Amino acid sequence: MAVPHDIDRLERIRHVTANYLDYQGLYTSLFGVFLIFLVFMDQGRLEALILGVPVVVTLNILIRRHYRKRFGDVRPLRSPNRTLVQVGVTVLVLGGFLAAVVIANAFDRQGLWIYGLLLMGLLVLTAGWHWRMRPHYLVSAAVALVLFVLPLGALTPSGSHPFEITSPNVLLLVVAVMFVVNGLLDHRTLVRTLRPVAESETD
Amino acid sequence: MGTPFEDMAEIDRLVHEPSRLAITSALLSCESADFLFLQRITGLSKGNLSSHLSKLERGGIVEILKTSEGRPRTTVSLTPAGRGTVAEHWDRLTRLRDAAREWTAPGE
Repeated sequence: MAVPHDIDRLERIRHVTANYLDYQGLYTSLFGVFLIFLVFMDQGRLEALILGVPVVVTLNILIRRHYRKRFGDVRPLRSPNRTLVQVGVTVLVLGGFLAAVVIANAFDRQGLWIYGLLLMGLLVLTAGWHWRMRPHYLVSAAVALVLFVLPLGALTPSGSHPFEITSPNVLLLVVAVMFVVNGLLDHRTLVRTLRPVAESETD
Repeated sequence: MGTPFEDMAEIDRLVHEPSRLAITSALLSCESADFLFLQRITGLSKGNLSSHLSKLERGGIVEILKTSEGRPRTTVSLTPAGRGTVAEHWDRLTRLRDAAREWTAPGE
């Protein structure tokens, strides 16, 4: 008879299988690396893009090969409900962001907080219902909140908040680092869940 | 839907064996998965996984597709009937777990 802790293990198996693509965190980290290249391009250095695109494409191929060879392949379920939820969440996030912009403009409260709100919303949504498996996204959301709320301008010579510095784009750099770190943590979860099997083992 | 005891009596032995339940639970959450993924997620050795998959295939729960284009690959998916059986089995397990929780922590 399956006992509750077995069912918990089985639910973990189901969750990781259903969200296998989400846990392939090296892709998320790679996106973060691409954003870092964009930060440098932002400073007018086109070399960053010329160097960055081939590096990102090559790494993408290597990551794909790594996941297929080490963890195998899964074809995800194509359920209309899942697609509907994904589209709905995207519309909700964009709608929320636009609403925040409109409200900020109406009350003359423009500022970095809108980006902070968007970033936090995205991080919390990424953690989703199974936040216990991805607590790092909630930690990142909290870190983002602190970074946006704290008067960090007091620590800079210009007196402006570091996220207002656009050369280099500090805000984009912080977002990029968050992608890299969270991606690596997702990858760690996958590695811990899909452990290699010794061939001498029996069930 | 019956009482917990009726649910236990109706449990499908082919699916309920722990290793096979892990395999079918993974397959229930996707269209198909390859042999390597199933091996990693269940922790079974190649021989054991092959043996369980053969039993499930004979029982009409899974279908196994072997391709030899490039690198040989074995892809496993639930049959439509198998998907129904495993989904029903999961409903039964969930009901049993809820009933067990009621018994051990009444009123919570």
